[in-house]
This record gives sequence, structure tokens and C-alpha cells, in this order.
Amino acid sequence: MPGPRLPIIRASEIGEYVYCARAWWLRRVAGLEPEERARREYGTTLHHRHARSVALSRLFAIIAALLGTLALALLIGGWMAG
Amino acid sequence: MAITVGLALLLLALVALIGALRLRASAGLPWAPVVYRDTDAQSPERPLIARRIGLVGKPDYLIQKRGRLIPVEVKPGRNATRPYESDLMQLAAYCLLLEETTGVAPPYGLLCYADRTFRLSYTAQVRQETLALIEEMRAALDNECDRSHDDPARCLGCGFFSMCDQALRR
Repeated sequence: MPGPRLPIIRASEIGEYVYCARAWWLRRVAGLEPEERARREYGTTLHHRHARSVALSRLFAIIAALLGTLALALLIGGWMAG
Repeated sequence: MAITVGLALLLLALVALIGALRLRASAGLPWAPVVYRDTDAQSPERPLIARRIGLVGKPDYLIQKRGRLIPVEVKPGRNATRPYESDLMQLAAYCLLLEETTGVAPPYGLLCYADRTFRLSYTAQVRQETLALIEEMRAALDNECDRSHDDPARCLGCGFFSMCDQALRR
């Protein structure tokens, strides 16, 4: 038989709790919202920018592979014809 | 003619490859497949849920290295020569989540700051510390919880500074 459900803790809350237990408690238990919304929004923007860099690096790698394959095919074809 | 075009394409391929490597390095991530990404609003990932220990979370990335999944936490606005303990413990929680949800413990996790990446070895001790922290937090849900540091700068950087009755005012 399953035991009683544990209250869920989010991994990000663990960081908050280590930063300051009171701050974590004020949000989680007292239900307060932190200020500095602009700073949090800026953080979200930076995360999106990071995601774009990672996605772009993958795209560049795919382009490099395609161009490299095409280049080798042309070089081999050229040498065989010549 | 074909050889000239071939050489030109080879050069372009090289430029693209260097661009790819530079972009990935600037992001602080190693060159490895990204199998999970929660940094993009367009494609939010499902959270990892470990019901047995009551833990849930979404790492920023999961990458695959030598067949093992590695969690990555990104703090792109942070510059520091040493990782913050709070960030390390958050990363440890993702390692624990990964172990609980896949049955395989990651050997380490990565913490990416703006200009450097730190590695947290996921040892038995780190696992125990994380579990103990979760238990401590769960116990604190039913009790008043006090400020856990004496650092005025930390208070000043906190979003609750103006409304916290225990804030350290200079």
C-alpha cells in the first residue's frame, strides 16, 4: 500500500533555501512574491539567448558536415576526372 | 573547376565548424548531444518527477556524454570565481532527480556561469547532503523558518529584502 504523499519540493527551491532559508520560507509558506521582477525577466532573456547559442552551434555543425561532404565528393570527382 | 569549388566548400565547412565550436564554447557547454532543453519558451520540457522522495524539477539542459546523461544548470548573468553553494545544491538536486527517474546516477553535473563552467562530482556524500536538505525543508514547511546567514550583501541582493523582518540592514 502506498504511503502518504510527500509535499513536493522543487529543485530550484533547494537553491533558494541554501541562499537564505527565510527567503525560501517567505515565498513557499508565507506566499509572498519577491521584488525585482525586471531582474528576473532579464534572467529569462539571458536563458533564451543561451538556448539560441546552443541551437545555432548545432546548426553550424550540420552545415559544416554537409559542406564538407559535398567538398570531398567534388574533390574526389575532380581528381578522378583529371 | 570541380577541385576549385571543392576546395572553396572545404574552406566554408571549416569556417562553419570553427563557428560551431566557438558558439558552443561561449555557451559553456561541452561538445555533446543536448537531449533535453528547458531554456527555450517555445518548447518547454516536462519536469522530472521523483515521487518516492517528493522532488520535482527541470534542469536547463541534459547532455549525453559517453552514454550517460549529465544535468546542466545555467546562470548566464552570474560572474564568480567560485560557484555559489546554493547553485551547487540546486545542481545536486538535478543529479538526484536524474538518478531517481532513470535509475542511473550521473557522474557529475555542470554549472555554467557567464564566463566559466564548474563541475560538481555527484558523490554519495553529495547525494546524502541533498536528501538531508530536502528533509530539512519539508520539516520547515510546518514551522517558522529563520534567516540562515549573517551576510548583509546577500540580504541586499534578495528579492524579499524590503519585506523581510529579519533582513540585515546596514
